[in-house]
Amino acid sequence: MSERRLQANEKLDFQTVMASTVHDLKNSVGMLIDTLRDTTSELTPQEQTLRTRFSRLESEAMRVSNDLIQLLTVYKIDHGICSLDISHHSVRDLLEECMLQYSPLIEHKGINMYLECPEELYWFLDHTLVCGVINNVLNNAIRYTKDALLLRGIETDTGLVIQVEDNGPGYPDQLLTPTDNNDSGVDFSSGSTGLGLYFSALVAHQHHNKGTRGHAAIDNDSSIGGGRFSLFLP
Amino acid sequence: MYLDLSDKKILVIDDFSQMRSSMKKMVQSFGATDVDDAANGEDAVKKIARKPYDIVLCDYSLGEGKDGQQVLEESKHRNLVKYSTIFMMITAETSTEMVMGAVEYYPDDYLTKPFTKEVLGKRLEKLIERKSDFDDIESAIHKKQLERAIALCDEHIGKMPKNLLEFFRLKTDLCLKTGAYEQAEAVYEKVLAMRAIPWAVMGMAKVHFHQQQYQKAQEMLRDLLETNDAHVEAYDWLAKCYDKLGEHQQAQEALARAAELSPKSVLRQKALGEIAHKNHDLDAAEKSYSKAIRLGKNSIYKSPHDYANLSKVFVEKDSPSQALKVLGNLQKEYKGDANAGILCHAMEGMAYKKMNRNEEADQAMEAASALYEKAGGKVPLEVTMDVAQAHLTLGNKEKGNAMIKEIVRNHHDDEEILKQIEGIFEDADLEEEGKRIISSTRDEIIGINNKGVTLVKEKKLKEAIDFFDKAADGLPDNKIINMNAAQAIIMQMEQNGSDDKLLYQARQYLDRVQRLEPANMEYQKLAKRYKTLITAK
Repeated sequence: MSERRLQANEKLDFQTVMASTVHDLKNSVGMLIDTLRDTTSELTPQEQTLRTRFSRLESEAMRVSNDLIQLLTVYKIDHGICSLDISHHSVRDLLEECMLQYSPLIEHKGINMYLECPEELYWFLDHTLVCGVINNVLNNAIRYTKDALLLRGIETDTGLVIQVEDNGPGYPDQLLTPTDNNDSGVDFSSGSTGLGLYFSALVAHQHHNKGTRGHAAIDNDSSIGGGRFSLFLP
Repeated sequence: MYLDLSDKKILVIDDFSQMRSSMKKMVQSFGATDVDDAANGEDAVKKIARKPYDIVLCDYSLGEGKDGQQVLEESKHRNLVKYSTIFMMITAETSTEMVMGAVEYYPDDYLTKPFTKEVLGKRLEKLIERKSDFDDIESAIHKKQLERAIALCDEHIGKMPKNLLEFFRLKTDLCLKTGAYEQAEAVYEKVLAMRAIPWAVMGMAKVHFHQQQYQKAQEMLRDLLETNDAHVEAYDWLAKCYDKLGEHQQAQEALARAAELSPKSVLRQKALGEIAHKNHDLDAAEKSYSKAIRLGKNSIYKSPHDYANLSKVFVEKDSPSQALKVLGNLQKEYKGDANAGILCHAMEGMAYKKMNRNEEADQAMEAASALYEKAGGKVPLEVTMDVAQAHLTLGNKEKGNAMIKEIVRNHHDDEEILKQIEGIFEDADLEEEGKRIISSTRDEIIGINNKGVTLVKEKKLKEAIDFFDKAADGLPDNKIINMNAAQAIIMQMEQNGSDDKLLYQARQYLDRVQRLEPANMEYQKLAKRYKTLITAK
């Protein structure tokens, strides 16, 4: 019998192991979400309690999936293996698609969705990356909003602005004030890892045009009374 | 959302039965009734060959056997799907990895898992709309009427549709294919004035490359990679530029990066193997050719040449017994394939020669020659080249030279091929003699062509036709001679009216050119003139 001795290879660095693990996890969660949606669709109208529980499960699973996707993308951008795929896209189609990704949840929670975006608005962007940002923001907004969500796409003098607004309690103060101190480390207690905001900023930064780069911002100036996320793309 | 799939034939491909049934349910919720499924790539290709599907939903990873990209490649390459078929690739990837792997064939869309039925519906709705927008152009492309396709693009562009840039992109792709570089350049300039979109930068670099401005092309590509260092196609073309500029080492490095970024691409491994081989980096060549063989197992890009090349590398590495082992595998994989048989024997000859087993070497070469003769001129160029190389290596100069001359006679204007031939002579230490053979054969054909062209210019069309007729007879694979033969006949008919015999004759020459290079612009123009003659009749 031949034996393969397993060793902790020094050359295999933590980041690589983590990236491939994240990849694997992401696929698992994807399967989980598919199965969950399938099972939910088979429920009878009488099984409301079960429906609510499944919806909660789906929401959490989507959250995990989004986080994993972001981690993986950050890793790829960091290691120069993420090819930016900038093309001309219909912004309305993109926003609609992001919305539809959450339609089972939105429907179940009875959230009113509003989409403000001109039909003819086209922009140069990486579809996958921007969808990743919006999906993540939407997931949070669905979690915290009272009963309404607004997705907006508009062209301004400086470029495209995509906004996600809700009518929940808004972003907490500690998120809105920038922290410069590097010694704060990771705050495991708040449930907010900062990954989402970092990812949004990174994706925005990848988009550049004639010397200007994109950026992302959050505030509580939502027109419907809650938090507002804005993505600016030149 | 308004999406009605009730009249669509749909195929769902996934190795997980749960995913198959889930996707089937999704399309059925949009009214689809004719839905089939396949659990693996082989079965998928079989089903696609049997039924003209309107929509194919294919998961990229299908376990053992063919993957999604290979199903796509085979379906398109073998013309199994209609041009209007929507092929959607479903992936678990978060970025453009799959897009990067593709070299020749792209699906109509990529969809990332997991997705809701609403997202799938929306995508399909958009794709159906898009397909109908491009229907006329794609139909022309399918019929290989590229010039007409370009004209149709212009028609659409004139109407300023909202997806204008997609038409620009398609038009430029077509222009590059037909060699209309200036036309392409004009469009790229327009687009680049708006914004430095990667595909337009890429396209402009390709234009420069084709106009032989390699330095300029190379600089553009390096700029592009500066901001987007994972743009795999840019590395492909950068390698081509370096190669032309004589920087072979850098060409190899660029291709190595492209192969690293798209680890499943058979074509890139082949290309990397070839350049490493040329650079005498035998370890790298061995690695790439082996990989190409392994990756190509279920692919349309599987080829006996990868085995032949790998065996050559082993011979050069002084491991002829390894080479023989590779050739044994070649024989096993390609039982009954005439071309593989020829290659196999010729390469065996080279391996035995290296082992100083001269008798066996000669026997192998005899076997190769016998099979070659039996094939009666139907042997692909690459096989002929390898056999010629084997002859020269074994000192059968007469046979080798004769085969090489035949190649040059039929490809006298193809720089790439002539360069490869030079390489073969160099390897056999016959550099000077090789150069002489190439240039004299080339001059011979140029002379023949010029004589015919002069006759045409002097309006001696009948004589010109007779002359080209004879010339083309001996040069069935020479594009220029056959094109000029067709042209002389067409001119004759344009001036003096057509008749069946001449029409038939012209058709034969045109068919030859179409087989050799269907997208050739000159050919397309001739084909158009020919068609006018037919319809006027």
